Amino acid sequence: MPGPVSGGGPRPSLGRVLIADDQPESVLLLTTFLEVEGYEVVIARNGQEALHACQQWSPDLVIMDAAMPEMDGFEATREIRRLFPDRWIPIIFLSAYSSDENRKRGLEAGGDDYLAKPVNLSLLKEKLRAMRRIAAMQRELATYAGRLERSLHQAQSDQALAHHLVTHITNPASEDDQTLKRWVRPAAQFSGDVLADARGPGGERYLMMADAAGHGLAAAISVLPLVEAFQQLAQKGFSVASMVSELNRKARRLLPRDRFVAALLAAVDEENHSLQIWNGGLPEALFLDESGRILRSWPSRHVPLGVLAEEMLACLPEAFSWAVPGQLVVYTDGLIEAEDGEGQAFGLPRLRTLLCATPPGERFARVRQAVEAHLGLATVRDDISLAILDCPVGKPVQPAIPPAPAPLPQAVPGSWCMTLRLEAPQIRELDLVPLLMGWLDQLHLDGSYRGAVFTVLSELISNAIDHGLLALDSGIKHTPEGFERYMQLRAERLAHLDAGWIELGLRWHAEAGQCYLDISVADSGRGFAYQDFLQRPDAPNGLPSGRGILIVQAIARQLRYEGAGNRVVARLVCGPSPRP
Amino acid sequence: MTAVSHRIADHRATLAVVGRFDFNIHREFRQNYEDILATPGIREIAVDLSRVEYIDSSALGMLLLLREKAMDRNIRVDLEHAHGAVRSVLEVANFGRLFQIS
Repeated sequence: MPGPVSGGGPRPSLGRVLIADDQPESVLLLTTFLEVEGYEVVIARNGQEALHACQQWSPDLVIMDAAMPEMDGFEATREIRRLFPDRWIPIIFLSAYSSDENRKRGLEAGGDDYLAKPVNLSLLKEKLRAMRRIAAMQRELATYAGRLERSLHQAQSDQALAHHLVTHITNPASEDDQTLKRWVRPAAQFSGDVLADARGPGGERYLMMADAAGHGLAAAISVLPLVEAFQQLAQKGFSVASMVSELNRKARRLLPRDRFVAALLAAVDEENHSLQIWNGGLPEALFLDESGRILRSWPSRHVPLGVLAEEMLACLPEAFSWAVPGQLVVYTDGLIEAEDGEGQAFGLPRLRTLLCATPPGERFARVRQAVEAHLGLATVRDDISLAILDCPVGKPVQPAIPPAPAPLPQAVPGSWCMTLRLEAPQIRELDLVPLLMGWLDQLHLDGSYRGAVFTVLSELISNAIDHGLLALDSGIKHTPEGFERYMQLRAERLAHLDAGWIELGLRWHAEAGQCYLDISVADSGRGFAYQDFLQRPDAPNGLPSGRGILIVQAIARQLRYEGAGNRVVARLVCGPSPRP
Repeated sequence: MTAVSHRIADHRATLAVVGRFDFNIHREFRQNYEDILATPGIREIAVDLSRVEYIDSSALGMLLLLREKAMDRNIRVDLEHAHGAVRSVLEVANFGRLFQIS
């Protein structure tokens, strides 16, 4: 064997070559030539040895004699291909039989090239160079393929996690609700449409249908923070106006400028048959009675969430009261814009006609079927959502008192009290009930009393503001049109309120093993003839709204009016007193 | 076929979209308005929607972005010749509060 090539020190190897040949003179020639060229060489004298060498030594290239004892070159080549399906080892056949038939056999067995013996060394040199180049490209390709596969895998597991989060945040359980039917059909794996529903502390129902710009993961993550915020605001009993303002602020802070969320927010008071709706960018919502007449519609009157600065946004909802049972229908533009194979949209007229002609119990299923039939096999371009809420009359509504936001520890022991006096500017701006509820939650008011406390606070505070400060006559509320006028008048007068005050007091104390909360509300108004009212609660005496006071009377242990009737104290039982 | 183009006359630039106005043209749309905003002396941009067949919410997002960038440079943005479905999409989003629409 020749020593290292004269001149230079050790050169980097050009690669490992396995020579499989049983003729010593041929092996000697090739070995000498290859080592001078700069290859490392290993020799096998038959096919069996060649296979063994491939496993032990993993060559970069094989020069294979066709005719060998024990196992010939063709079979050895087939075996190598079988043993290393994922790794390409270039194999060059070398044979004295250079007939076309032999060439063909070699290539069919899995050889990459075929050279005739006696070997032309300069031709072999070029073949080796070409093989090296192809092998380098193969390796690069394999690296890229590996990288691609890893990132595909990563993307799939990221998507699975995102999907889990998105579905859990947007659809927490309440799917079995028979009064609210919902359908969301995403265009991609993720939906940018979301229907969230929540209960307020007094059992009132809140709905949010949101449609983020675009679809897929980008749209889904745009809408997530709003869903979380919506649920928290609802649990605290915030008004629709406060919600809109807060959700808009959040969207503006979190989303890039070219992203926004079209949304409809509704607060539905099933007990008093009234609802409030704010629509910013969704198609018109509808209220239908059982015979299919459209009693009211709410077209989009506002810019979607996340676009306007706070001071530019009008947050006031529209009020509505139903005297006959009906259904509220809310949907996203994906539904009316759903196109069939010919590019024909489902359309608002078709939706309205179908809703009006279908009995209430079947409307949801029929619309859904019709849209799906219309779509057929066409690609869905936008997320599609539909929600239909039953709004009954006369059925005893069980105000489902929702659980407290989190499992709460025992009430903070000891007694405490607070008084808060607010003047016109704060009364115009603040949502007073959630403000006080937040305070009580901090002091660990037991979740099972939350609903009662919320209801009493809401009734007493709204009486003080509506009748004490705004001098509204609740008599006009008795018809559905009157209710809307009342709410409108209330919003107008509140916006212009520039004098007056309200004083809110909470006193927590324990007596004989029982915890009590005294809620006091006083206002700068003229008061009212409460003596008459409390003696004859059924008498129609105009001021104030009788129903509210009756509810408070039923809940509270004591209800006491003072002065001219502009101060009231309600005492509530709030559980056994905690051990100190 | 969707295409975006613009022309400039004095202080006024017209940015025209033809075909489907959706996310697929966002690069082209941005390139065009960046060219306009880089032109000195522009005071008004009119987005010509007369040949738009379809507009989606990501296109509305692009319009918002254009409006914001233009406002920073005291340039007003009007939407022109919106018709049919395109007009009703703009109306539902109450874009009339943000742009002059004709």
